[in-house]
Amino acid sequence: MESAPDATGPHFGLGRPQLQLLLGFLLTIPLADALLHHSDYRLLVPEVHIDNQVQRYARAVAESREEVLIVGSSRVQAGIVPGPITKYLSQDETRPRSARRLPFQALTAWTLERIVRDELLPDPPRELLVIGIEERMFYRPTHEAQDALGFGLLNSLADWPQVPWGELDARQRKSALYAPLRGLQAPWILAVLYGQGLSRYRRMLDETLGQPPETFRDLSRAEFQFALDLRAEIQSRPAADPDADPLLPLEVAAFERTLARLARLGCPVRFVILPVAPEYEAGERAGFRAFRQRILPAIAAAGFELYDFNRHAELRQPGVFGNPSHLNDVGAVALSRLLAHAVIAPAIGVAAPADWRDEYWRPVLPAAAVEPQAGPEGARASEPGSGAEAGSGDPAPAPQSPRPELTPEQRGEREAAFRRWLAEQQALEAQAQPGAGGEPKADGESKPGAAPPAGGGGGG
Amino acid sequence: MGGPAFGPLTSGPAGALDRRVELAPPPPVLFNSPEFVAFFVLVFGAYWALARWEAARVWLLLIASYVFYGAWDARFLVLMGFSTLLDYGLALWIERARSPGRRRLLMGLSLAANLGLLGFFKYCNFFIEQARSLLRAFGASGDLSSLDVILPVGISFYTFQTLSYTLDVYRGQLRAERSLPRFALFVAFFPQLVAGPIVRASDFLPQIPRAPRLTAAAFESGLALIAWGLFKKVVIADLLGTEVVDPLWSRPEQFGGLATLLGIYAYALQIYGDFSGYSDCAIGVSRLLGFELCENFDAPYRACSPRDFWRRWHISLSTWLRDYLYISLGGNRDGTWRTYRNLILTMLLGGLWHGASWMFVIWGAYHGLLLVLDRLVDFKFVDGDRPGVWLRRLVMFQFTCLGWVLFRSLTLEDAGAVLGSLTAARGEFQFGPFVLLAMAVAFLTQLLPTPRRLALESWFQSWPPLLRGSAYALGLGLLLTAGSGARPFIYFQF
Repeated sequence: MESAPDATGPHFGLGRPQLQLLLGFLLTIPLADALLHHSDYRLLVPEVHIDNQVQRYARAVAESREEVLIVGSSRVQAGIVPGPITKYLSQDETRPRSARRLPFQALTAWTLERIVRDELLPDPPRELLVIGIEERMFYRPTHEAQDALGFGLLNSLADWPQVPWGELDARQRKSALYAPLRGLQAPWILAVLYGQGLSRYRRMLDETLGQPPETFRDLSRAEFQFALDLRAEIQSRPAADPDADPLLPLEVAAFERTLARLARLGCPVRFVILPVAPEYEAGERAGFRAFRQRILPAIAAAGFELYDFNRHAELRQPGVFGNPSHLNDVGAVALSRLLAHAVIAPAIGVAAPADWRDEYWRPVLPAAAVEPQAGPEGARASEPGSGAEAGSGDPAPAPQSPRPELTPEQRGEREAAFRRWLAEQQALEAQAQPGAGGEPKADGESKPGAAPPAGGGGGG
Repeated sequence: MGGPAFGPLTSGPAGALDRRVELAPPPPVLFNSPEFVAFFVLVFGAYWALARWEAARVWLLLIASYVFYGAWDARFLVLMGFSTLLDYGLALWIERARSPGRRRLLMGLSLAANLGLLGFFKYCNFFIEQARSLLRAFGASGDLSSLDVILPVGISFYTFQTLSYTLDVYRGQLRAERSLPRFALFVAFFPQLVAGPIVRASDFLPQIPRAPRLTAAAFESGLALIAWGLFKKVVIADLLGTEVVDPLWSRPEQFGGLATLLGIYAYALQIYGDFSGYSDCAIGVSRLLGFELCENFDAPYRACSPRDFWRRWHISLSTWLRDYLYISLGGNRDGTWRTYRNLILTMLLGGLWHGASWMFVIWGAYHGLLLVLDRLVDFKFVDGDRPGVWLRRLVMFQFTCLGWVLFRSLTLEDAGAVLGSLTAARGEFQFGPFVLLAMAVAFLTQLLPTPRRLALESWFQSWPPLLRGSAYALGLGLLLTAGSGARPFIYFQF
């Protein structure tokens, strides 16, 4: 093999046209980025956010407001079927009532706050709001913590200043580096969204009228900042301790603000905990314990009723779960039926229909008690499944008349009482901080005076 | 592009992978990964900076190729190095050997070593499993320990390359290469190392010492080939694989008859898009470095007979099998029946080359029988746009697709389930608009006559360069969008 230059010499024939080609390529990147940045579409948020946007949108474009709205996470999507509920509630043909679910994938307390503030306060359901609450709204499991940082929400070069580059790991840095290329993707994602994407959501919701989604820009910006804050929280935690309280203060604070807002809502509110498989609860024991010790008392203190369907043995069998944290179709129908009978009907004053053991009702086991977590006013709308018909698996029938709802003045008082309770809690927490009185960090039931009002229990 | 990292790779979510690929070892660096782009930009710049010095550019490409391969698993560099040294040395000895017996002995040594390595790494587990089954059938315990041998990526391709080299030297059709770095580069040249095309030494070795040339036209056609190859792989093949083919083979009962038929067509288009996409990228990348590789595909679904199909599909393998196996077995020289036997045997081994599975053997035998049938009926090669030709293409496509069902299925039961759902009246599965669009585009690329395709290419090349650059950028956006769950190339496993 020769080491001297080749006699004829190589030929590298690239010139100005190829430079122009390269220039065209490179210039298109910032141009597309700028166009996307100034457009109404920040489309490249993770699919879960698009999902949630479409859910919101479906409700926004619905022609008439529903009587009963059930808000929650994917557990609501998997575990509640509106059909049986609507049928149950519409036995009086002169006054049909519709139930709609509004599930949000990976719902967090922070997102719930936005939904309540932006969607429900201005436009509440006619008769009842049911909120599916769960432990996962308040913390991230370790394996999801990395994904919750919101880098998928980056859309343009303009987002780069927000990124703490030095603190990112390689995977996150790679994701953030791609941000300027997202402008190039926009035309194709638009096509996907308007073609395959929306049609899929339309099929799923069948309420959507096919109108274009609203802008994602503000949502993604706000969520990105939240993700950064959340990340700071996660990183400030001590080394992983499976028994440590995992609740994120940002989420808890968001939920407390939500409770205050819900007190002003123009319709009654019920909280429900959807069933999960026992093994799932065992795997998330610290999360469940903290959730029951800290969140459920707050709900009770704010005067809302709570029903924990985990106490219903029929809904905790393996055969009703699609996966450990989501019901399957059988479980969904059983839960929906029970929800209508035990929670919704009493709240809005619908009597149990004569034929309520219809094709939807398939009790698997004799039902255990479903105990409502009563609010401070001590009101118990119903005692479903109190044992009267335990052998047949049927909860007790719903009462004939609705519990009288609070007047605006009463609502104001309730909100004020809740705020007082909240202030007390915060004061106690401040006292319990190391250096502020020398007490160990306290939360939940360990806090002196933090015992929930009567009937609130700890949800345990 | 959402591709895997440059190093020990785990590409994409496991659920998104082809069922066969899940069984295969992790893939090496993908052409559709940003790591490869960065790697190639560096190599390209350095190569043309050193282009005046042959030794420098050969060593550069050789080191780059070993880095490329070593990024997957550095241990197997030893294997490739051993194979290189063995055939380099044996070819020189074969050339120098005077007696035919000694030449035959050396050639036999090369065959035994190369096929032995290939057999060990590719078929060891398979044969142990077969032996175990056989022992059990005869009532023995069948307690044979498994070796869990990892299949080195690309071993089938570079082994066939080195084998063809020694065979050519043995036959006196090629002079043995004196320079070890040149020969090593022939074996390890990174653009085609892991999934072909299978390059002949007689084509490649003479290009190495020549001063490389890169004209503006070659650069742009190379670039266009890479872009087109990535489009076929990422946009067409991966989409069809994820959206249609994987669901069809995992849950055929959800497919109605028409959906199953379209699903089988989708697999035909997926495997074409995947493999020809890789070949296009390999040819395009080589062209940017001043090398010309042979074409590997020529619109295979335009074939109007089995023989025509094998002139168009994986051309570098089919010509290899013809030149080194079929002809070595006697070809068509010893009468009709021996010709048929040779055809079936060649295709059977060709099927086995794809992997250690009875389904590949059955697929090979099926194509062998088709070739025999072709000889019996003696289809004349025809081309053009007459209705009769189109009918023959349509029929041949159905035969090809039937073969792909065997190829894609892990067992005969799987194949039976897929074929069985052809008769189902209705199913739940529905084709999305983008899937149908991708299938339409893929069919169009097959059916578009070459002059029209060339006219389209020259129309694109007539755009102002700035605009073309912009189009490439938007094409990158499409690849990024479609390639969020990158899948390895199917042919990496072979």
